[in-house]
Amino acid sequence: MVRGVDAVMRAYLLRGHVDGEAEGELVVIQGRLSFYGEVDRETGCLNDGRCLGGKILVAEGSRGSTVGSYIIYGLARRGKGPSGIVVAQPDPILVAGAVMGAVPLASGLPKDALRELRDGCRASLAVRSPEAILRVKCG
Amino acid sequence: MFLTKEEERVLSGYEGEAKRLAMELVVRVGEALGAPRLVKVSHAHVSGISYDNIGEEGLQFIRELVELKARVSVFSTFNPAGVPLELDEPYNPLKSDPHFVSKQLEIVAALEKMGFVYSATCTPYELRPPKPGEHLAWGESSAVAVANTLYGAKTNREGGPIALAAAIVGRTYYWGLHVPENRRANSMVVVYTNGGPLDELYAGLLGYLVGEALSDTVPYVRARFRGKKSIISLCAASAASGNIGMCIVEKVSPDDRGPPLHPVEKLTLEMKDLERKREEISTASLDEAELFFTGCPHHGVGYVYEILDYMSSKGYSRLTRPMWIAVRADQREVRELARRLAEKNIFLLPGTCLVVSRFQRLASAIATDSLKSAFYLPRRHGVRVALSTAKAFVDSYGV
Repeated sequence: MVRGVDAVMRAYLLRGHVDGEAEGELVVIQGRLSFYGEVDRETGCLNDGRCLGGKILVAEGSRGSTVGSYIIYGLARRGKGPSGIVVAQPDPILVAGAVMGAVPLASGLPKDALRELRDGCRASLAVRSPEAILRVKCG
Repeated sequence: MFLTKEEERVLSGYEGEAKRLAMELVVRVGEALGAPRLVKVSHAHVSGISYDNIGEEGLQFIRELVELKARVSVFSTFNPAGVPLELDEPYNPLKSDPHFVSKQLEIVAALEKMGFVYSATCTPYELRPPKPGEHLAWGESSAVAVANTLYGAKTNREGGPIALAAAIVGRTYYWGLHVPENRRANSMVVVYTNGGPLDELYAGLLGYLVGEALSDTVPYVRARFRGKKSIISLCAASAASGNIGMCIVEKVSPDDRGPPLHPVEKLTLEMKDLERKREEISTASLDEAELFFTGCPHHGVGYVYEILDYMSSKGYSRLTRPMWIAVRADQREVRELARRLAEKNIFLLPGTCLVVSRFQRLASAIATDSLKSAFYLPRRHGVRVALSTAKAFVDSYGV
Protein backbone atom coordinates (compact mmCIF):
# COMPACT_ATOMS: atom_id res chain seq x y z
CA MET A 1 0.00 0.00 0.00
CA VAL A 2 1.31 3.38 -0.94
CA ARG A 3 0.32 5.98 1.61
CA GLY A 4 0.54 9.70 1.17
CA VAL A 5 1.40 9.79 -2.51
CA ASP A 6 0.15 13.35 -2.43
CA ALA A 7 1.93 14.14 0.75
CA VAL A 8 4.29 17.07 0.53
CA MET A 9 7.25 17.30 2.82
CA ARG A 10 8.21 20.81 3.77
CA ALA A 11 11.09 22.06 5.85
CA TYR A 12 11.51 25.52 7.37
CA LEU A 13 14.74 26.95 8.72
CA LEU A 14 13.83 29.06 11.75
CA ARG A 15 15.27 31.06 14.67
CA GLY A 16 15.70 28.91 17.74
CA HIS A 17 14.89 30.27 21.22
CA VAL A 18 14.45 27.32 23.57
CA ASP A 19 16.36 24.13 22.79
CA GLY A 20 14.78 20.72 22.47
CA GLU A 21 12.98 18.40 20.12
CA ALA A 22 9.30 17.70 19.55
CA GLU A 23 7.14 15.55 17.34
CA GLY A 24 3.43 15.53 16.78
CA GLU A 25 0.46 16.87 14.87
CA LEU A 26 0.10 20.57 14.29
CA VAL A 27 -2.48 22.84 15.87
CA VAL A 28 -2.55 25.97 13.72
CA ILE A 29 -3.80 29.37 14.87
CA GLN A 30 -3.77 32.08 12.22
CA GLY A 31 -3.62 35.00 14.68
CA ARG A 32 -1.97 35.78 18.00
CA LEU A 33 -2.96 33.56 20.91
CA SER A 34 -3.63 34.90 24.41
CA PHE A 35 -2.84 32.03 26.76
CA TYR A 36 -4.70 33.97 29.45
CA GLY A 37 -8.39 33.74 28.52
CA GLU A 38 -8.15 31.72 25.31
CA VAL A 39 -6.61 28.50 26.69
CA ASP A 40 -8.18 26.48 29.52
CA ARG A 41 -5.61 26.46 32.33
CA GLU A 42 -6.54 22.92 33.41
CA THR A 43 -7.08 21.06 30.14
CA GLY A 44 -4.89 22.94 27.68
CA CYS A 45 -7.82 23.16 25.27
CA LEU A 46 -8.73 26.24 23.27
CA ASN A 47 -12.12 27.93 23.40
CA ASP A 48 -12.95 26.27 20.06
CA GLY A 49 -12.40 22.79 21.55
CA ARG A 50 -9.03 21.96 20.01
CA CYS A 51 -6.43 20.81 22.56
CA LEU A 52 -2.73 21.65 22.63
CA GLY A 53 -1.54 18.64 24.66
CA GLY A 54 1.27 16.80 22.88
CA LYS A 55 0.85 18.81 19.68
CA ILE A 56 3.09 21.35 18.02
CA LEU A 57 1.45 24.75 18.25
CA VAL A 58 1.87 26.98 15.21
CA ALA A 59 0.67 30.59 15.45
CA GLU A 60 1.50 34.11 14.42
CA GLY A 61 2.53 34.85 18.01
CA SER A 62 1.12 35.45 21.46
CA ARG A 63 -0.54 38.44 23.09
CA GLY A 64 -2.33 39.43 26.29
CA SER A 65 -1.51 39.29 30.00
CA THR A 66 1.96 38.34 31.22
CA VAL A 67 0.22 35.62 33.27
CA GLY A 68 0.39 33.75 29.96
CA SER A 69 3.97 32.73 30.80
CA TYR A 70 2.80 30.93 33.96
CA ILE A 71 0.01 29.23 32.02
CA ILE A 72 2.45 27.85 29.41
CA TYR A 73 4.65 26.65 32.29
CA GLY A 74 1.73 25.09 34.20
CA LEU A 75 0.42 23.22 31.16
CA ALA A 76 3.92 21.88 30.44
CA ARG A 77 4.34 20.63 34.02
CA ARG A 78 1.00 18.79 33.90
CA GLY A 79 1.66 17.34 30.44
CA LYS A 80 -1.25 19.25 28.94
CA GLY A 81 0.77 21.76 26.97
CA PRO A 82 2.16 21.79 23.44
CA SER A 83 5.28 19.67 22.87
CA GLY A 84 6.74 22.49 20.79
CA ILE A 85 5.83 26.02 19.67
CA VAL A 86 6.54 27.71 16.33
CA VAL A 87 5.57 31.32 15.70
CA ALA A 88 6.10 34.05 13.14
CA GLN A 89 7.01 36.66 15.80
CA PRO A 90 8.41 35.93 19.27
CA ASP A 91 7.49 38.05 22.30
CA PRO A 92 8.61 38.12 25.96
CA ILE A 93 5.51 36.34 27.34
CA LEU A 94 5.95 33.37 25.03
CA VAL A 95 9.73 33.15 25.37
CA ALA A 96 9.57 33.35 29.18
CA GLY A 97 6.82 30.69 29.34
CA ALA A 98 8.72 28.35 27.02
CA VAL A 99 11.95 28.69 29.05
CA MET A 100 10.05 28.05 32.31
CA GLY A 101 8.25 25.01 30.92
CA ALA A 102 11.24 23.79 28.84
CA VAL A 103 9.07 23.82 25.71
CA PRO A 104 11.08 23.92 22.45
CA LEU A 105 10.38 27.28 20.80
CA ALA A 106 11.22 28.66 17.36
CA SER A 107 10.21 31.81 15.50
CA GLY A 108 10.52 33.27 12.03
CA LEU A 109 7.91 31.15 10.30
CA PRO A 110 6.97 33.07 7.12
CA LYS A 111 3.39 34.39 7.15
CA ASP A 112 2.49 32.57 3.90
CA ALA A 113 3.79 29.31 5.35
CA LEU A 114 1.50 29.87 8.33
CA ARG A 115 -1.47 30.16 5.94
CA GLU A 116 -0.55 26.90 4.18
CA LEU A 117 -0.21 24.78 7.31
CA ARG A 118 -3.24 23.14 8.86
CA ASP A 119 -4.30 20.98 11.77
CA GLY A 120 -3.34 17.34 11.60
CA CYS A 121 -0.18 17.77 9.50
CA ARG A 122 2.60 15.67 11.05
CA ALA A 123 5.62 17.65 12.13
CA SER A 124 8.92 17.43 13.90
CA LEU A 125 10.75 20.36 15.45
CA ALA A 126 14.41 20.46 16.38
CA VAL A 127 15.76 23.56 18.14
CA ARG A 128 19.37 24.29 18.87
CA SER A 129 19.53 28.03 19.37
CA PRO A 130 20.16 30.20 17.46
CA GLU A 131 18.82 27.80 14.80
CA ALA A 132 15.84 25.54 14.42
CA ILE A 133 14.25 23.36 11.79
CA LEU A 134 10.58 22.43 11.39
CA ARG A 135 9.72 19.50 9.11
CA VAL A 136 6.09 19.14 8.14
CA LYS A 137 4.26 16.47 6.20
CA CYS A 138 0.68 17.13 5.21
CA GLY A 139 -1.02 14.17 3.60
CA MET B 1 23.94 38.34 22.46
CA PHE B 2 27.23 39.31 24.06
CA LEU B 3 27.66 37.78 27.52
CA THR B 4 30.48 38.37 29.99
CA LYS B 5 32.49 35.39 31.26
CA GLU B 6 30.56 35.54 34.53
CA GLU B 7 27.21 35.54 32.74
CA GLU B 8 28.32 32.59 30.58
CA ARG B 9 29.28 30.70 33.72
CA VAL B 10 25.87 31.24 35.28
CA LEU B 11 24.13 30.25 32.04
CA SER B 12 26.16 27.03 31.92
CA GLY B 13 24.87 26.07 35.34
CA TYR B 14 28.08 26.47 37.37
CA GLU B 15 26.21 28.45 40.00
CA GLY B 16 23.27 26.14 40.36
CA GLU B 17 20.04 25.38 38.56
CA ALA B 18 18.05 28.33 39.95
CA LYS B 19 20.53 30.88 38.61
CA ARG B 20 20.86 28.99 35.34
CA LEU B 21 17.09 29.03 34.79
CA ALA B 22 16.86 32.71 35.73
CA MET B 23 19.76 33.63 33.44
CA GLU B 24 18.27 31.63 30.59
CA LEU B 25 14.98 33.49 31.02
CA VAL B 26 16.61 36.91 30.84
CA VAL B 27 18.98 35.97 28.00
CA ARG B 28 16.38 34.25 25.80
CA VAL B 29 13.87 37.08 26.15
CA GLY B 30 16.61 39.63 25.45
CA GLU B 31 17.77 37.71 22.37
CA ALA B 32 14.23 37.47 21.01
CA LEU B 33 13.91 41.26 21.31
CA GLY B 34 17.32 41.84 19.73
CA ALA B 35 19.10 43.17 22.84
CA PRO B 36 22.89 43.31 22.32
CA ARG B 37 23.82 42.52 25.95
CA LEU B 38 22.64 42.46 29.56
CA VAL B 39 22.80 45.28 32.10
CA LYS B 40 23.21 45.09 35.88
CA VAL B 41 20.24 46.35 37.88
CA SER B 42 20.22 47.76 41.41
CA HIS B 43 16.59 46.95 42.30
CA ALA B 44 14.14 44.34 41.01
CA HIS B 45 10.41 44.70 41.65
CA VAL B 46 8.11 41.80 40.83
CA SER B 47 4.50 42.35 39.84
CA GLY B 48 1.89 39.64 39.35
CA ILE B 49 2.12 37.99 42.77
CA SER B 50 -1.60 37.97 43.56
CA TYR B 51 -2.91 34.40 43.67
CA ASP B 52 -6.01 35.68 41.91
CA ASN B 53 -3.81 36.64 38.98
CA ILE B 54 -1.03 34.01 38.70
CA GLY B 55 -3.02 31.13 40.17
CA GLU B 56 -1.73 27.66 40.99
CA GLU B 57 0.80 27.77 38.13
CA GLY B 58 2.44 30.91 39.45
CA LEU B 59 2.59 29.48 42.97
CA GLN B 60 4.08 26.27 41.59
CA PHE B 61 6.84 28.14 39.72
CA ILE B 62 7.73 30.18 42.81
CA ARG B 63 7.75 26.96 44.89
CA GLU B 64 10.06 25.38 42.33
CA LEU B 65 12.47 28.31 42.61
CA VAL B 66 12.50 27.98 46.41
CA GLU B 67 13.17 24.24 46.13
CA LEU B 68 16.11 25.08 43.84
CA LYS B 69 17.34 27.40 46.63
CA ALA B 70 16.95 30.55 44.54
CA ARG B 71 18.12 33.75 46.26
CA VAL B 72 17.81 37.32 45.08
CA SER B 73 21.15 38.97 44.34
CA VAL B 74 19.98 42.61 44.48
CA PHE B 75 17.50 44.67 46.51
CA SER B 76 14.16 43.13 45.56
CA THR B 77 10.56 43.98 46.34
CA PHE B 78 7.14 42.69 45.30
CA ASN B 79 3.74 44.05 44.34
CA PRO B 80 0.48 44.05 46.37
CA ALA B 81 -1.03 40.70 47.32
CA GLY B 82 -4.59 39.56 46.66
CA VAL B 83 -5.60 39.92 50.31
CA PRO B 84 -4.86 42.52 53.01
CA LEU B 85 -1.73 41.73 55.03
CA GLU B 86 -1.03 42.82 58.61
CA LEU B 87 -4.72 43.14 59.35
CA ASP B 88 -6.92 41.38 61.91
CA GLU B 89 -9.77 39.67 60.07
CA PRO B 90 -12.66 41.55 61.76
CA TYR B 91 -11.23 44.73 60.24
CA ASN B 92 -10.85 43.28 56.74
CA PRO B 93 -13.58 44.84 54.59
CA LEU B 94 -12.91 42.31 51.80
CA LYS B 95 -13.89 39.27 53.94
CA SER B 96 -11.24 37.18 52.19
CA ASP B 97 -11.81 33.46 51.57
CA PRO B 98 -9.55 31.42 53.95
CA HIS B 99 -8.38 29.01 51.21
CA PHE B 100 -7.40 31.95 49.04
CA VAL B 101 -5.64 33.61 51.99
CA SER B 102 -3.50 30.53 52.69
CA LYS B 103 -2.42 30.28 49.03
CA GLN B 104 -1.57 33.98 48.99
CA LEU B 105 0.41 33.80 52.22
CA GLU B 106 2.38 30.87 50.81
CA ILE B 107 3.42 33.04 47.84
CA VAL B 108 4.49 35.87 50.14
CA ALA B 109 6.42 33.50 52.43
CA ALA B 110 8.22 31.95 49.43
CA LEU B 111 9.26 35.38 48.17
CA GLU B 112 10.59 36.28 51.62
CA LYS B 113 12.51 33.01 51.71
CA MET B 114 14.21 34.02 48.45
CA GLY B 115 15.31 37.24 50.13
CA PHE B 116 12.64 39.65 48.92
CA VAL B 117 11.98 42.58 51.23
CA TYR B 118 8.53 42.29 52.83
CA SER B 119 6.94 44.97 50.69
CA ALA B 120 3.60 44.10 49.01
CA THR B 121 3.38 47.54 47.51
CA CYS B 122 2.99 49.14 44.10
CA THR B 123 5.21 52.03 45.29
CA PRO B 124 8.69 50.44 45.51
CA TYR B 125 10.19 53.92 45.04
CA GLU B 126 9.01 54.76 48.57
CA LEU B 127 11.07 51.89 50.00
CA ARG B 128 14.20 52.69 48.02
CA PRO B 129 14.09 55.86 45.92
CA PRO B 130 15.97 55.17 42.65
CA LYS B 131 18.93 57.36 41.68
CA PRO B 132 18.95 59.13 38.31
CA GLY B 133 20.48 56.97 35.58
CA GLU B 134 20.23 53.78 37.63
CA HIS B 135 19.08 50.60 35.84
CA LEU B 136 16.13 48.72 37.37
CA ALA B 137 14.03 45.67 36.49
CA TRP B 138 10.54 46.54 37.62
CA GLY B 139 7.13 45.13 36.92
CA GLU B 140 4.03 47.18 37.88
CA SER B 141 3.19 49.65 35.14
CA SER B 142 2.61 52.65 37.42
CA ALA B 143 5.90 52.24 39.28
CA VAL B 144 7.79 51.82 36.00
CA ALA B 145 6.40 55.11 34.71
CA VAL B 146 7.22 56.84 38.03
CA ALA B 147 10.81 55.51 38.05
CA ASN B 148 11.46 56.75 34.51
CA THR B 149 9.50 60.01 34.71
CA LEU B 150 10.10 61.28 38.24
CA TYR B 151 13.39 59.66 39.25
CA GLY B 152 15.19 59.46 35.88
CA ALA B 153 15.99 55.80 36.54
CA LYS B 154 15.82 53.31 33.66
CA THR B 155 13.42 50.40 33.50
CA ASN B 156 11.15 48.63 31.06
CA ARG B 157 7.88 47.11 32.19
CA GLU B 158 8.98 43.56 32.98
CA GLY B 159 6.52 40.69 33.12
CA GLY B 160 6.31 38.80 36.45
CA PRO B 161 8.64 35.87 35.65
CA ILE B 162 11.25 38.09 34.00
CA ALA B 163 11.40 40.45 36.97
CA LEU B 164 11.74 37.38 39.25
CA ALA B 165 14.61 36.13 37.11
CA ALA B 166 16.21 39.59 37.10
CA ALA B 167 16.04 39.64 40.92
CA ILE B 168 17.92 36.33 41.04
CA VAL B 169 20.68 37.18 38.53
CA GLY B 170 20.75 40.95 39.19
CA ARG B 171 20.56 41.71 35.50
CA THR B 172 18.13 42.39 32.71
CA TYR B 173 18.44 42.78 28.94
CA TYR B 174 19.72 46.10 27.60
CA TRP B 175 16.78 47.21 25.48
CA GLY B 176 13.90 49.69 25.33
CA LEU B 177 14.00 52.38 28.01
CA HIS B 178 17.48 51.27 29.16
CA VAL B 179 18.84 52.75 25.91
CA PRO B 180 19.30 56.57 25.95
CA GLU B 181 17.92 57.08 22.40
CA ASN B 182 14.59 55.53 23.41
CA ARG B 183 14.21 57.95 26.33
CA ARG B 184 13.81 61.05 24.19
CA ALA B 185 10.38 62.64 24.02
CA ASN B 186 8.68 62.06 20.66
CA SER B 187 5.18 63.40 21.35
CA MET B 188 3.97 66.56 23.03
CA VAL B 189 1.24 67.54 25.50
CA VAL B 190 0.46 71.11 26.49
CA VAL B 191 -2.11 71.83 29.18
CA TYR B 192 -3.43 75.35 29.76
CA THR B 193 -4.44 75.12 33.41
CA ASN B 194 -5.51 78.81 33.64
CA GLY B 195 -5.15 78.89 37.40
CA GLY B 196 -3.67 76.58 39.97
CA PRO B 197 -1.59 73.49 39.34
CA LEU B 198 -3.23 70.11 38.64
CA ASP B 199 -4.17 68.18 41.78
CA GLU B 200 -4.05 64.38 41.97
CA LEU B 201 -7.50 63.90 40.46
CA TYR B 202 -6.89 66.22 37.50
CA ALA B 203 -3.35 64.97 36.95
CA GLY B 204 -4.92 61.51 36.76
CA LEU B 205 -7.47 62.71 34.22
CA LEU B 206 -4.63 64.14 32.15
CA GLY B 207 -2.77 60.82 32.41
CA TYR B 208 -5.87 58.94 31.28
CA LEU B 209 -6.11 61.15 28.17
CA VAL B 210 -2.36 60.90 27.49
CA GLY B 211 -2.47 57.09 27.69
CA GLU B 212 -5.37 56.91 25.26
CA ALA B 213 -4.03 59.40 22.73
CA LEU B 214 -0.26 58.87 22.88
CA SER B 215 0.20 55.17 23.77
CA ASP B 216 3.65 53.74 22.89
CA THR B 217 5.30 57.17 22.74
CA VAL B 218 7.40 59.15 25.23
CA PRO B 219 5.25 62.28 25.76
CA TYR B 220 6.77 65.63 26.71
CA VAL B 221 4.31 67.12 29.21
CA ARG B 222 4.07 70.87 29.68
CA ALA B 223 1.70 71.49 32.60
CA ARG B 224 1.80 72.59 36.24
CA PHE B 225 1.42 69.90 38.88
CA ARG B 226 0.74 70.09 42.59
CA GLY B 227 3.64 68.10 44.01
CA LYS B 228 5.05 64.64 43.60
CA LYS B 229 1.76 62.84 44.22
CA SER B 230 0.19 64.51 41.19
CA ILE B 231 3.06 63.32 38.97
CA ILE B 232 2.55 59.79 40.35
CA SER B 233 -1.14 60.05 39.54
CA LEU B 234 -0.32 61.15 35.95
CA CYS B 235 2.05 58.20 35.56
CA ALA B 236 -0.32 55.59 37.00
CA ALA B 237 -3.26 56.67 34.84
CA SER B 238 -1.29 56.91 31.60
CA ALA B 239 0.23 53.45 32.16
CA ALA B 240 -3.28 52.02 32.74
CA SER B 241 -5.21 53.56 29.84
CA GLY B 242 -2.27 53.20 27.44
CA ASN B 243 1.17 51.75 27.09
CA ILE B 244 3.20 54.61 28.56
CA GLY B 245 6.47 53.65 30.26
CA MET B 246 7.79 57.17 30.59
CA CYS B 247 6.79 60.81 30.31
CA ILE B 248 9.10 63.77 30.38
CA VAL B 249 7.50 66.41 32.57
CA GLU B 250 8.93 69.83 31.84
CA LYS B 251 11.22 71.12 34.63
CA VAL B 252 10.51 68.00 36.73
CA SER B 253 11.91 64.93 34.96
CA PRO B 254 15.67 64.42 35.25
CA ASP B 255 15.61 63.48 31.52
CA ASP B 256 14.18 66.89 30.51
CA ARG B 257 16.25 68.16 27.57
CA GLY B 258 13.52 70.40 26.21
CA PRO B 259 10.52 69.59 24.01
CA PRO B 260 10.88 67.40 20.89
CA LEU B 261 11.62 69.30 17.67
CA HIS B 262 9.40 67.05 15.56
CA PRO B 263 6.74 65.46 17.77
CA VAL B 264 4.88 62.57 16.08
CA GLU B 265 1.74 63.82 17.74
CA LYS B 266 0.70 66.89 19.73
CA LEU B 267 -2.12 67.21 22.23
CA THR B 268 -3.27 70.65 23.39
CA LEU B 269 -5.68 70.61 26.31
CA GLU B 270 -7.63 73.06 28.42
CA MET B 271 -9.32 72.49 31.76
CA LYS B 272 -12.64 71.97 29.97
CA ASP B 273 -11.15 68.95 28.15
CA LEU B 274 -10.23 67.40 31.51
CA GLU B 275 -13.73 68.21 32.83
CA ARG B 276 -15.27 66.49 29.80
CA LYS B 277 -13.14 63.40 30.43
CA ARG B 278 -14.22 63.43 34.07
CA GLU B 279 -17.88 63.36 33.01
CA GLU B 280 -17.23 60.59 30.51
CA ILE B 281 -15.48 58.34 33.07
CA SER B 282 -18.01 59.01 35.83
CA THR B 283 -20.68 56.34 35.46
CA ALA B 284 -22.12 56.95 38.93
CA SER B 285 -22.81 60.00 41.09
CA LEU B 286 -21.23 60.58 44.48
CA ASP B 287 -24.71 60.01 45.87
CA GLU B 288 -24.80 56.47 44.43
CA ALA B 289 -21.31 55.55 45.64
CA GLU B 290 -21.48 52.98 48.45
CA LEU B 291 -17.90 53.65 49.54
CA PHE B 292 -14.80 55.67 48.74
CA PHE B 293 -11.60 53.95 47.65
CA THR B 294 -8.18 55.60 47.61
CA GLY B 295 -4.60 54.33 47.56
CA CYS B 296 -4.03 53.19 43.99
CA PRO B 297 -1.06 53.68 43.90
CA HIS B 298 -0.56 53.00 47.63
CA HIS B 299 -0.56 55.66 50.31
CA GLY B 300 1.74 55.68 53.33
CA VAL B 301 0.12 55.88 56.77
CA GLY B 302 0.86 59.62 56.80
CA TYR B 303 -2.05 60.01 54.40
CA VAL B 304 -4.41 58.41 56.91
CA TYR B 305 -3.45 61.04 59.48
CA GLU B 306 -4.09 63.77 56.88
CA ILE B 307 -7.65 62.47 56.47
CA LEU B 308 -8.12 62.32 60.26
CA ASP B 309 -6.81 65.87 60.63
CA TYR B 310 -9.16 67.07 57.93
CA MET B 311 -12.11 65.38 59.61
CA SER B 312 -11.35 66.89 63.00
CA SER B 313 -10.82 70.35 61.47
CA LYS B 314 -14.37 70.07 60.13
CA GLY B 315 -15.72 68.70 63.41
CA TYR B 316 -16.58 65.24 62.01
CA SER B 317 -16.12 62.21 64.25
CA ARG B 318 -17.11 59.56 61.68
CA LEU B 319 -18.30 58.91 58.13
CA THR B 320 -21.76 57.59 57.30
CA ARG B 321 -20.37 55.73 54.28
CA PRO B 322 -17.10 53.79 54.49
CA MET B 323 -13.74 54.95 53.21
CA TRP B 324 -11.22 52.26 52.16
CA ILE B 325 -7.57 53.25 52.07
CA ALA B 326 -4.93 50.96 50.48
CA VAL B 327 -1.59 51.46 52.23
CA ARG B 328 1.85 49.89 52.30
CA ALA B 329 2.04 46.97 54.72
CA ASP B 330 5.59 47.55 55.91
CA GLN B 331 4.65 50.19 58.47
CA ARG B 332 4.43 48.97 62.07
CA GLU B 333 1.40 50.90 63.22
CA VAL B 334 -0.90 49.64 60.47
CA ARG B 335 -2.55 46.83 62.45
CA GLU B 336 -3.20 49.02 65.49
CA LEU B 337 -4.34 51.95 63.37
CA ALA B 338 -6.88 49.78 61.52
CA ARG B 339 -8.50 48.89 64.86
CA ARG B 340 -8.87 52.51 65.88
CA LEU B 341 -10.25 53.60 62.50
CA ALA B 342 -13.11 51.09 62.30
CA GLU B 343 -15.35 53.20 64.56
CA LYS B 344 -14.89 56.10 62.16
CA ASN B 345 -16.00 53.86 59.29
CA ILE B 346 -12.51 53.98 57.76
CA PHE B 347 -10.89 50.70 56.72
CA LEU B 348 -7.29 50.02 55.74
CA LEU B 349 -6.20 47.63 52.99
CA PRO B 350 -2.53 47.08 53.84
CA GLY B 351 -0.42 45.36 51.19
CA THR B 352 -3.24 44.86 48.74
CA CYS B 353 -5.18 46.79 46.17
CA LEU B 354 -8.70 46.42 44.78
CA VAL B 355 -7.39 45.89 41.25
CA VAL B 356 -5.59 42.63 42.16
CA SER B 357 -7.62 41.41 45.14
CA ARG B 358 -10.44 38.91 45.30
CA PHE B 359 -13.67 39.63 47.12
CA GLN B 360 -17.21 38.37 47.03
CA ARG B 361 -18.97 41.58 46.34
CA LEU B 362 -17.51 45.05 46.20
CA ALA B 363 -20.40 47.43 45.53
CA SER B 364 -22.47 48.39 42.54
CA ALA B 365 -20.92 51.86 42.57
CA ILE B 366 -17.88 53.31 44.32
CA ALA B 367 -16.21 56.71 44.48
CA THR B 368 -12.47 57.09 43.99
CA ASP B 369 -9.78 59.67 43.34
CA SER B 370 -7.66 57.09 41.48
CA LEU B 371 -7.90 57.14 37.69
CA LYS B 372 -6.04 53.85 37.52
CA SER B 373 -8.81 52.30 39.62
CA ALA B 374 -11.42 54.08 37.52
CA PHE B 375 -9.90 52.35 34.49
CA TYR B 376 -9.62 48.81 35.91
CA LEU B 377 -12.49 48.38 38.39
CA PRO B 378 -15.34 48.69 35.87
CA ARG B 379 -13.49 46.30 33.53
CA ARG B 380 -12.48 43.68 36.10
CA HIS B 381 -15.20 43.90 38.72
CA GLY B 382 -18.10 45.50 36.89
CA VAL B 383 -18.55 48.42 39.28
CA ARG B 384 -19.67 51.90 38.32
CA VAL B 385 -17.38 54.74 39.34
CA ALA B 386 -17.80 58.28 40.67
CA LEU B 387 -14.70 60.47 40.55
CA SER B 388 -14.23 62.52 43.69
CA THR B 389 -11.50 63.82 45.94
CA ALA B 390 -11.25 62.34 49.43
CA LYS B 391 -12.11 65.72 50.96
CA ALA B 392 -15.28 66.04 48.88
CA PHE B 393 -16.33 62.57 50.08
CA VAL B 394 -15.61 63.49 53.71
CA ASP B 395 -17.58 66.72 53.31
CA SER B 396 -20.54 64.74 51.93
CA TYR B 397 -20.57 61.92 54.48
CA GLY B 398 -18.86 63.29 57.58
CA VAL B 399 -20.99 63.64 60.75
